[in-house]
Amino acid sequence: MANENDLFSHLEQILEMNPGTLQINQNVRELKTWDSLKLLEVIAFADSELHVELDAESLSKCGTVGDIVSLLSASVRSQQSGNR
Amino acid sequence: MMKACVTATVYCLPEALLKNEDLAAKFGDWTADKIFEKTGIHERHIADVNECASDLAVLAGKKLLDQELCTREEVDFLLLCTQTPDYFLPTTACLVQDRLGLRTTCGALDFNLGCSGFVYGLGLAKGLIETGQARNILLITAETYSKFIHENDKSVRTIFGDGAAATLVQAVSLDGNLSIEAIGPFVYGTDGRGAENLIVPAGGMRQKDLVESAGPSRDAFGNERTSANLYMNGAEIFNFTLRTVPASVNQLLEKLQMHFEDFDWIVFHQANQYMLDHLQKKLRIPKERFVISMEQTGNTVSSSIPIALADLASTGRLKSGQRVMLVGFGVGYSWAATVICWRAGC
Repeated sequence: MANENDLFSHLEQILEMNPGTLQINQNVRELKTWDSLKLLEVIAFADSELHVELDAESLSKCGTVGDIVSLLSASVRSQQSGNR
Repeated sequence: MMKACVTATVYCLPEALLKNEDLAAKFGDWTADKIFEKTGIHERHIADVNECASDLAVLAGKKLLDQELCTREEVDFLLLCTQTPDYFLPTTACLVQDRLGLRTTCGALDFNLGCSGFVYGLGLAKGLIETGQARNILLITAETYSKFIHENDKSVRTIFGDGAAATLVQAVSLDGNLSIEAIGPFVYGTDGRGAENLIVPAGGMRQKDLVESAGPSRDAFGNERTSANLYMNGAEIFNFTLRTVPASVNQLLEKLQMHFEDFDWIVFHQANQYMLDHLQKKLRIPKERFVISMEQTGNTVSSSIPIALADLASTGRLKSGQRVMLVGFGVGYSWAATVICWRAGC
């Protein structure tokens, strides 16, 4: 599962946002729910649902929700191309 | 032939408490309930300003010796695991030997490991006993990470607690059955590339003095620290854990040709509940055998595994002869996994 809409929905849940309230260009650091443990939750999601290791440094540099979605997508694509 | 066996473990914690209510009052953005929900911790015990690793080690050691499984005179080796020694020198284990009244023909040494320290300690104790160098070993883990932690660093203040555990590892006869191990086999691992992800940069020989003249720095989450304070990159540590713990656990199971169901208990280093829950699900460890024991202590580093064992034993859940998997992982990076047969041959 690497559909970006699905990834966005999962991020809404991780960020404890009501469905439909999160914007793709939302700066995550401006969210009240964003903290160091949220980084772990995104990593855990990538591990359990996407079966990829998410680069921690890249994740920490993400500014917007869209950045995180892109990082997740890229990680899956990289894994898939590595498996070929 | 004598085999090394874990026969008892006890612990002691400093009296002062850092509760979630205290953290909520200071940092404001999380309620006490939210902190518990995120960390699985209600409170952490914090060493007093004049309370050091040796003090906690002595308390734990005395508590263990009071069980009278062996006398002070019978202890022939003291292994002390700490990353917060009383001094750079002399060795803190020497201070503890003296204060516990152990004989002067007892060996004693410190070893510097964190979260993997207890399992490494069991390996050292097994080596000493099964090569005939010792018969009654006091393995003590004593940690006061709080002394490294900046008061305005929420990321680590919520996680770490201080404490010490004392474990008796004794030579026992297993009725001549050399195929049975009461401790072991072991899986060890080290990856120094992770050194900077859990570190106190200043104070050692590499950087004796602070370089900051303008006070502490503040990270992206508002946590403050100087180079003399503990820094933890939680995300990198989590990735390390996900890479290495499943692999080392599977390596141990492969060595033993066993499955999780062959173990009565599985005790991982009590890093944080979120990480442990994720590992339990990822590895499909039966939940009823997977020990979570950090609500009243937080992450006590090398003491976390023996504290969990002591709680299991004192509540009657851990019984003689039961098989327990122990997995320590963290700072270094360093990791180790082993199996013990609790009080085998006793």
